[in-house]
Amino acid sequence: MNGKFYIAMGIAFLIDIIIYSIFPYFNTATPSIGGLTLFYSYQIILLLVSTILFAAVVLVVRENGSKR
Amino acid sequence: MALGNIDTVSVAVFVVLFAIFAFLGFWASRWRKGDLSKIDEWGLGGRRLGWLLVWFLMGADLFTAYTFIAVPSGMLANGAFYFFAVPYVAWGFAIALLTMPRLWTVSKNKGYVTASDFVKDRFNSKSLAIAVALTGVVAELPYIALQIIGMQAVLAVLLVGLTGVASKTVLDVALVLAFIVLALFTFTSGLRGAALTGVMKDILIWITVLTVIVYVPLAYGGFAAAFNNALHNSVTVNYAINHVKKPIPYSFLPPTLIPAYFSTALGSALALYLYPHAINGSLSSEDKNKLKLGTSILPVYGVGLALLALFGILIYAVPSALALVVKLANGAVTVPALVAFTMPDWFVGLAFLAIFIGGLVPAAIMAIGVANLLVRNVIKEFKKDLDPRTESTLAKIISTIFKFVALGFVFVVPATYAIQLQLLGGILISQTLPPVFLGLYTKRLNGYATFAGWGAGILSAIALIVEANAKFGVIKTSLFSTPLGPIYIAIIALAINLAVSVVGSAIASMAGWRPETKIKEEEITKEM
Repeated sequence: MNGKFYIAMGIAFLIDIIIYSIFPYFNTATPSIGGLTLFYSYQIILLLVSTILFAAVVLVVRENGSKR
Repeated sequence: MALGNIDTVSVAVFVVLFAIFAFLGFWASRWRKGDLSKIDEWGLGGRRLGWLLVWFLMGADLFTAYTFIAVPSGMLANGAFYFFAVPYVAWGFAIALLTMPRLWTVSKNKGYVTASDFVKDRFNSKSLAIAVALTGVVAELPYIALQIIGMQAVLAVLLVGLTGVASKTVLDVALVLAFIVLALFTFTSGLRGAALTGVMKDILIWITVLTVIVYVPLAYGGFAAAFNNALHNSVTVNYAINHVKKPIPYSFLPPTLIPAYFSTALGSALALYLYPHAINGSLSSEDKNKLKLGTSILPVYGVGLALLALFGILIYAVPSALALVVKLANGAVTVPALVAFTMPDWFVGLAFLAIFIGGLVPAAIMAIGVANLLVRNVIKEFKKDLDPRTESTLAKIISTIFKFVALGFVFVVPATYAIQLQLLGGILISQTLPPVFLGLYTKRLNGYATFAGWGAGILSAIALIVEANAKFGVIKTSLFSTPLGPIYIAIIALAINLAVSVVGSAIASMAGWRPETKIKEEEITKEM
């Protein structure tokens, strides 16, 4: 079965949902960086985290059956 | 007479760039005439291009009127809630990575061009395939309307700058102009021309976004000044735009809105790659691995979207721009007003043109693409012997009708709430998730049950939208109050949809039905 890539991606998606959903930890006005409250800066930084997470899965977990 | 930094130079730059753009579109449509029924032909931007260029093009396609107009407008008018666009983008690409490689593979193996093609063979069901196609067609219409609002917003501010008159009439004139330009451009350039001018659009958009999001915060005291001013002035803004005398919550999300935030982000993310134009874009990639890698890095583009969203708050640091928004009582002009009051005149012309064609090109591509979808996956199912000439004439007529229908949506949704147009389309298109996304993973769903699920989803969606907006008379919200808090209607309707599809399929299995599909499992995962 070549479902490895999709299972890994599914896990990455779940992780991404969780880190965006821990509201009590970031849904606050302070601390603020450069005027931006944590609510905003946290979620923006998480975009970069998401990129690393997804790119890691794509690069590391090969899908069998692709012409490579 | 100058408004902000808008003057004849701005208008000249706008007009000259637009002339170049229009000429390119007209010329490109005549370059290497192709077979119009080959929808995948216009995706040729993605062929033989490295993953980086695919990323550039796919990402720039994200910067439409939604990014420049709807989200900042929503943030200004309602506060932190509209930042849902950020988790939405991250999750949307994760979902794309879970689904598009599979759809790409099976489409390459079997020659599919649309999701409807796939559904027809996977479920052995013509009606389900037609339902998916029709939903795609209808869901694109509010999205096209959103692009028209974006074009209108830019023209309106330009006109105010030219004439010095800031009134509702200016908005109406701008709307008519935007619509005429869209109709003419579609007619002269066609799908090929629109797709090829997309590269010019992408370059201009990139220049605009990078310059504005770096320069404006730096020059205007950063976000600290903006948030501070917002604390004192949001009541005035709220009253002018929403007729509500309360402050707008900007600093963080009021906890009562957490269910709304989460469900809207998730529902929108699920919908993103169900849209015909997103699927088209993915299927036209020549290489699966480039598609995957390019998609995985797209959340970086989300940073641009996030910063643009924050312009809805940053505008508080530029009182003159905010005053224009309040005077026109139209949140959609937030970013154009901000640019007009902060950037030099020639850059204003360039930025406005970038935003303008940033709405025009997607709207043209969607209007034509969706007309082709209707002809290929719906009309042709009933009239199989349609000759190519009739087909393409029919598509042209339908595409024109669609533009009028899209215009109709503009009147049902107030411009400040332009984002509702996107959310509306999202509610409808997410009802195609069971056949399209689940169909990529399992053949155990029964065609009739899934069709019934789709029907239940659509009907409940419409009922919930009407109920939630009954007291407004126009569409202002996509949230429905539940015991769990306000929830995005797409999620509720999808839950009903899934329940019917799954339970129905289980009942069918028990009654002796077995899956019959024209697709082998390995055709979805292995390139043959």
